[in-house]
Amino acid sequence: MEVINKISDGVLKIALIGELDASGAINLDNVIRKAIDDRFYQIVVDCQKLDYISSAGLGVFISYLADIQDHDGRLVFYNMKDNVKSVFNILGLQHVVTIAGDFNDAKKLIHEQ
Amino acid sequence: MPSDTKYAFQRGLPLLGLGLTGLAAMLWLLWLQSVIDTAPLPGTGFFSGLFLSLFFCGLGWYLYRIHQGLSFFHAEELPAHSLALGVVALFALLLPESLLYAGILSGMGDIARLAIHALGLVAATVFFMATALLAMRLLLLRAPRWGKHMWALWLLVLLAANSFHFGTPELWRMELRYAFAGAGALVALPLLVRMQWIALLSQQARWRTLGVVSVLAVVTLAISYSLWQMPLGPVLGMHPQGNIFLLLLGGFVNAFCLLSLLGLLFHLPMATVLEERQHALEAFRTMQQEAKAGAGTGSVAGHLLAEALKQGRAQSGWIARVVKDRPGDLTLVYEGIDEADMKRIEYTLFSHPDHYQLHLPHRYIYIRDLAEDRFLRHHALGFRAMVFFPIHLPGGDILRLFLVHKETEAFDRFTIDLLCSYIAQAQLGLANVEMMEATVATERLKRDLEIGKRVQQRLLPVQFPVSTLMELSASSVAAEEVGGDYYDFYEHGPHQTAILMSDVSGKGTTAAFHVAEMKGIFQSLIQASPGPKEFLSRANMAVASCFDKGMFITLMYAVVDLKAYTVTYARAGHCPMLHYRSGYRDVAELQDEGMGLGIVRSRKFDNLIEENTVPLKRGDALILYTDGITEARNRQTQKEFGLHRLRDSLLLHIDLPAERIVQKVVQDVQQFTQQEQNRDDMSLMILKIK
Repeated sequence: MEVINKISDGVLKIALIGELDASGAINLDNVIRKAIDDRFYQIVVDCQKLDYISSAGLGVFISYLADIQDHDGRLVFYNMKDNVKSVFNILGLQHVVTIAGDFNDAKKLIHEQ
Repeated sequence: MPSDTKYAFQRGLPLLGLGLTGLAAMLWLLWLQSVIDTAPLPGTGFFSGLFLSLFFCGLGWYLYRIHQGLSFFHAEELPAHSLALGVVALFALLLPESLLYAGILSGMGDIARLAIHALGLVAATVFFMATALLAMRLLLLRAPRWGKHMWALWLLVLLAANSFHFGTPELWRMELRYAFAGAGALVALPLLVRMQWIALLSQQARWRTLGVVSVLAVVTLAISYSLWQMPLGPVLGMHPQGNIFLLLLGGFVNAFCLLSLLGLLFHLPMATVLEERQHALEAFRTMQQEAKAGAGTGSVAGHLLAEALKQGRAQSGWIARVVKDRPGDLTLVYEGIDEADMKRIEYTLFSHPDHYQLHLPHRYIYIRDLAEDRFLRHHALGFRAMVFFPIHLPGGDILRLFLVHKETEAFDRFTIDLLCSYIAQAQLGLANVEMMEATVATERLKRDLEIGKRVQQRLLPVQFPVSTLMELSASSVAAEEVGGDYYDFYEHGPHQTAILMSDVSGKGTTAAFHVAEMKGIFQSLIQASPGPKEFLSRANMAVASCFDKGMFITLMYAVVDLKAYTVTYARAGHCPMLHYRSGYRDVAELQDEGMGLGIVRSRKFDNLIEENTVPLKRGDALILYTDGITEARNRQTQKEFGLHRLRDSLLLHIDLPAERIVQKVVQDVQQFTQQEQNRDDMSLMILKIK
């Protein structure tokens, strides 16, 4: 499980590769926390290579929701696989995060800010 | 020697000794008798007998001591009482001289004079024998078998030397005597050169022994010289110089003292080096024990630095830790240098990786003189020599050990090699520490997860209501590590039943606690018989305050009314409830909008929950489940069981009683997966309307 991340144009760009399980969630948490500490509230997540997301992984994103919303930030996912998307939809996350289609959609949504 | 014979031999020794002593006493009496009969003065025979009997006594005592098993061969020092004996002997020998000097002796009779000389002679012989015996203790330390045999041979030689007392001087010509003496000396030589006992002395004993041996050597020489000069010719029938027994014995003791003295003098400088090695080994052992005792890396690093400074003979040094995949390092311990200075040196070193060839796998980097180094001379601050050791830990972290010295070329090849092997040992110790920490952490985690599973199982209801209107049953198969599924029910009355299925995120004890919290929330909220949306709304508020950040729970809540034959439900992010319609023999998903509890921890949540009501007919069934069932994978194909298979399985077994349906469906899932343990808990609840 890899978490590739970089900050550019004031946006934290994350790419998730593989299966996001409990140990990967810790890694992810560190990455997002650092960005939040440095006051980056715009987060874009590339899910093209994300095969599976555990409740621990979901928990990481959920734990920063309030913070992001309070600072008018945004959490955008794109290129999601069907199985991951259905997990998000059943849980109802589509109401609190943005699930975009591809990278361009995601870019547009971020720059709407 | 076979142990029986050895045992018999040992048992027989005291008898042998006793026998010899008895023999000596008899000889003594015989000669005494003959002497008194024949002449007023004791003759040659008298003194020969004297020597022989003394020797026999000594031998007897020696054998007796062996029988007692006393540790002849374990003493490591030369006891000082041998010295006392020597002093006594010297005094006894010098007595005639002093008396002569004082003019007293000339006035005495012949017998008196002879007696005094004889006394000195006896004392000297006793001294020689005692010292020889003590020397044996040391020379035979850690000796192989042949050493003890050699010693026995040497005793035989001495015994044989006594035979020269008998017979006339013409029988035993001087050449013969000296030839024998030479041969005897050759026997003693391999024993005399066994200087191992010197190496085994402790530091304090070394100097003490040197003192004792020096004085002993002087005393022995003095005694030997006096003996040589003693006018005992008419008494012994020959010069003492012709007495082979005394010659061999005295020569042995003299040789022992001289060789020991030389050995000690040469050993002392080497001893300090050996001690350092010993100390290094001690230090290794301490460190291994520390690792076992559960000391952390910091404490081990502290000891490592202290030892490295000692062995490198430096006053200043430090150890820093580089954590894997993180830039910079963290200073663990330092000594004899300011933190700012050490950071400057480190920074300079690592800023020029090419110059110092840091990419190569060096065991160490040694800079003879910092003042001549291109980059470091500006930051050397009085230090000249520096050596740097990178220590790779198994976890991927690196420890950096630096030693600096105010003199150039302070670390020689030997010291660096020693430090390298010491560090290799330290690496092992540190690896042990890391492994132990990891093991402890893993064990704790395992136990955590087991407890979680057990607790969760106890929170689930086991007894289900039996009624004329409906059947209810549920079951949960816990996964290896998870303990987060929870289901429950509540009968408001004969016609109203509330059912609930939920899945807590997380694993182990944390999940179990949250399950317990959820149960508490359910039990308290259910009393007011709320509708589903109201229940979820309140549950969300309750959860919002007591769940950890990032923790959420999915829930399916339904109230079945068996008067109106309806079911009202709301879905909090959970898998949709399934409705089996007996008329159509199909299984449909009851969809609606919903969101998991704990995700939106405010009133906004209420807008995201939808409540629906659906009519029920007799023979219908409601099925609640967790995603552990649909996501269960086949071991080989990795395909999921999926909703379609769940549907098929339900349809297959739907005519059975509720309890049986639950069992059968779970069986089907397990048959599909072919796995003993699943990734997630599997829970299933069925309410069948009669």
